[in-house]
Amino acid sequence: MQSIPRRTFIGAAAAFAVFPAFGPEAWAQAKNRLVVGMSLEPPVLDPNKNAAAAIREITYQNIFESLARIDRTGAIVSGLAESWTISPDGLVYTFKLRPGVKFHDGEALDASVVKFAIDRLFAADSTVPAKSLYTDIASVEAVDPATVKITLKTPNSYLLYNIALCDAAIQHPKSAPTNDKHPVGTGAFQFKERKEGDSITLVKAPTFRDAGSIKLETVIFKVVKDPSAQVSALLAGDVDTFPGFQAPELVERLKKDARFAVVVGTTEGEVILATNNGKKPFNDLKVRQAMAHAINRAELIDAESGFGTPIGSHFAPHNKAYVDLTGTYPFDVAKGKALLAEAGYPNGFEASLKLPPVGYAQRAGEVLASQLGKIGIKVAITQLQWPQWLSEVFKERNYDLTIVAHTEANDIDRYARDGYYWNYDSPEFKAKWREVVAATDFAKRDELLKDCQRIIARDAVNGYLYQLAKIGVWKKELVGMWENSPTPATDLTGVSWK
Amino acid sequence: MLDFLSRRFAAALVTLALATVVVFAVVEVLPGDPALVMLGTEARPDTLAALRAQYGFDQPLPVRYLHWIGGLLSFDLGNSHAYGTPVAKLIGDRLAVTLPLGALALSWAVLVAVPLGVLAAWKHGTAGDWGVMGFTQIGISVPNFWFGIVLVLLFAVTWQVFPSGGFPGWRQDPRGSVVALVLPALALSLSEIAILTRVTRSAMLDTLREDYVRTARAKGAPERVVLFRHALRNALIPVTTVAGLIAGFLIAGAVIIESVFRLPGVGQLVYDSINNRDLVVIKNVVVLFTILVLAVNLLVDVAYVLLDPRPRVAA
Amino acid sequence: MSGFIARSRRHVGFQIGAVLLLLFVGTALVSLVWTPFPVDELRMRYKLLPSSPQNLLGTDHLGRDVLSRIMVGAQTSIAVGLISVGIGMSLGVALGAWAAARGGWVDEALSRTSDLIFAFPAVLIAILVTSVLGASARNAILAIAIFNIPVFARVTRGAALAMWSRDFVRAATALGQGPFGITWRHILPNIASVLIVQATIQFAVAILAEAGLSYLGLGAQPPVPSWGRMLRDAQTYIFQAPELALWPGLAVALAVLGLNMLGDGLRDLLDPRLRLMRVG
Repeated sequence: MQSIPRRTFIGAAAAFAVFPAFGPEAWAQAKNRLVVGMSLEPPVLDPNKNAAAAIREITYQNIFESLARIDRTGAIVSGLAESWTISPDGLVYTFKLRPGVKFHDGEALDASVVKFAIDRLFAADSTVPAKSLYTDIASVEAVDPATVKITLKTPNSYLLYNIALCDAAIQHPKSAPTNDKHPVGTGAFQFKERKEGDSITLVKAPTFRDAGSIKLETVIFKVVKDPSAQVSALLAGDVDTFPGFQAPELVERLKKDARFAVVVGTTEGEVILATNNGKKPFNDLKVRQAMAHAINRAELIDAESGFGTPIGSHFAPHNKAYVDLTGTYPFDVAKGKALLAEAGYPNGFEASLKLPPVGYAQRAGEVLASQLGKIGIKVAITQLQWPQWLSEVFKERNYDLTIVAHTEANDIDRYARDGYYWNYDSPEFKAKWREVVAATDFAKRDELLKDCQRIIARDAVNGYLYQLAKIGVWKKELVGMWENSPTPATDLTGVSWK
Repeated sequence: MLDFLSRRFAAALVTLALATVVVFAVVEVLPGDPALVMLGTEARPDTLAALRAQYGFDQPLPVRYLHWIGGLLSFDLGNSHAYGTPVAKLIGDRLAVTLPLGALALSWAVLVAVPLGVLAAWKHGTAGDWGVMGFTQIGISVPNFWFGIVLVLLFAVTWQVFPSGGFPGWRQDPRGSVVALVLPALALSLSEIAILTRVTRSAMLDTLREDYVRTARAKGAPERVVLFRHALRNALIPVTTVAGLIAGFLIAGAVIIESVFRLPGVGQLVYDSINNRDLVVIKNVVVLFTILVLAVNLLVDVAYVLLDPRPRVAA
Repeated sequence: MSGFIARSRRHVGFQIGAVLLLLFVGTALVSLVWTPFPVDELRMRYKLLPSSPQNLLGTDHLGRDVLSRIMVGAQTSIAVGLISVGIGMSLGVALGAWAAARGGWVDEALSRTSDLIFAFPAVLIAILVTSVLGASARNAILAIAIFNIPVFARVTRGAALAMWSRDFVRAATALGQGPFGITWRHILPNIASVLIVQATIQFAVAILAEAGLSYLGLGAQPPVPSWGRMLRDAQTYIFQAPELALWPGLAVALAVLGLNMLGDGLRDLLDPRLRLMRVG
């Protein structure tokens, strides 16, 4: 530190003296104003135009609402529909709309608006990112102004969940075309302004049906990408909360500060060492088993500063259908080596690990490379930009290994898909999954889901590492924040200052 | 003279035209599909195709190039794919951070470098001169982004008198915004201080050897008058030229410093746009920077011609 | 040559530069055969340790020995510098000498192309190039080399043109020697000093550039140790382990300082009137 010229110090001190009272607290003092920090910046603000999770984290429930709602526990409760009925064959869903709902621009909600909004999800020329979730819908019918009937082509036990997602937000035909820049919804907060690269400001919506229950007047979502900058922003008082704090290594620093509560909850993100099952030598079960034995989850979680829950299959531990399969292929380097030799690779082989630009993948990447090295697999790491990862790894399936978190709930269905990037093709799993989707009895569905977990754990399709933790940091006086993250959302309708 | 300038101008235009082709080509071969970035992992082939058609990604390259150039010529930069907002607005917002940052760094550089250079020249060959020259060696050798990190360590982490990064915004907190630019400007100016100091020193040494300076000294003019009225005034010509050249590079070179201090400047805009494959933004910002560099070079040429009346041959 | 050595004994800057460069190269050479710890060995239990007799510069976020990584990082810097300057110099000198010898359209094309490359903001283009080709040490070298070519081409052209007007070259032309032979026998040997000095400085610029690109994540890929990459990782831990952000930067600064001082010293010793380019 001696290399700093004295002059620089004096100069900076002088500059500081000119602004003696630069007050960090100035931003977030009022008790009806909240500054929410976000790690990623949303591109547009319309979930029907872009798949980014950050869009949902800002708009879900705050700006946009769906017919049903996913609450803080992950349960599906009434949303813009007060109630619904499902026909015994599971094909017809009838929604009764809540009365008195208005959009921020004063337009009223009725069945025709709902029909418009749902129809565009699965229309032939639709460009909605989540279109595939809604292609089971045959038709949407406005029975009367307060009743909507959705008819399916085949029963889908996940339909209600899909309808509750932010992707199925009810948008008005008048405002839908401009919702990317100026989102207009039915939620408790309305869009005020956006500064690209910096912040998005919402204010309480006077049109909201239950405005009295909303305590916050102004909500500012502020984008702070860098982890250490997030800490600085919190410490300086520029930001009141990071609901999804992305830097586990910095949590200790925040815990030292009595002003903040650090709340560790669950997410739907399974971090996996995704493996190209269609490519030699990974198409050999023994090789994948050898890799599974080489994985030391404790060390990986240590690299996450202890945050994360070990998983042995592609399923969230907090889900009631979860079954603990972490013991299927326990950490055992000798066994891993032996299996590799049995598979015909006594001296190991070389493999590439293509990492997406996300913190957990960067952290886990070097650790996994070292772990696989111990059974003789020489791993070369390549960092990809997100667009490259999407094209090269995910779409073209041109990869050996990658690390990624699958953050959608119930995403074990990916193992039943043809041409998914893992190149896993198991008639057994596909048959099981068809049973899951068709199941109308939820207890039976849970049992079937357990079987699904066992099949992919046994086949060691991917390396199952750990479930991402949701690290929420907020001022201790702030109440009502979600501890868990059942869906990408920062639902502020129940949040207030003490 | 006019003939020389018009030739330089024509050459700059040709360079610019070539530059647009190069930029367009580079942006086109960026791996990754912008439509896939927008629609994410659950995108279906039919939605991807529909989106590509909507944005015109499916049109032939020459058509897209001409479309872009047509827009540039009519000052219409188009809309960002990621944000949906006009590119011109995006760039304008970011310039509100980058320009003040560059201006602060440049004025800081001039304020420090000119006195240092004068001092070194005046005390030519003494320990003071050696000290200044040693400092300039360090100044051009230390990576400015690391200097920025060290500043953060000292002023933000250890003494906590400056924010470690981020930018509150001119409207929300004008004072905080100025404060937020202090450390980045310091970091950015380090190598510029070193370069300007050297230029000032050698220009001063040259002018101090000139006859009129010697005459002034011989006539018994006070040293202060000799240094500042006679020598410095003439030495300022090359100093101004170099300062101008630096200004152009300061703005473009701020990318890494903006990244260290998380400033939402133009450099970060390009960096983010590359990561989002927001092709419209990348193309336009890089071309704008190119225009800036060419304009600065041209201005330097003009300055030379105006300040130096001797006839010139082509550069 | 003996005059050069005698003069260099009196040039302090040159000596400091030479010592720093020896240290830099020596570190890289030693790291080829010995480092305090295996460079990639993860020891999660010992992460983020401060300096101690075992780990002189502490350990990083994965428990790896920082000193070992800085030592091996010197190899990365030298490789990037040598190769990018090597490419830039061989192509640039050839082009510049050709332009000087041939004149006319070759000269015009060369100066237009150099103008074109210099018109782009270097950092942005380097980012774009590594985005197109993929982030790796090899592609960072390529991106840096692209900007070295016109630097050497211009310097060579300028120095060579001056040579072409000298009497002994004119005499050689009159004797019927071809432009290639003259360039090879008379021009290049006489402009070698300017090229050596310029190469030293470009080496320094290349190390700075690699550090910057790796800091942005676009250079050498982990687990290959790179000083810029280490700075990138260190910034995350700036609150827990601030020293982590000091050592790699210091290494870059000293290596670059050594090369710059050596370059300036060489210029003073060989020919103080050399016209060099400072870019970047």
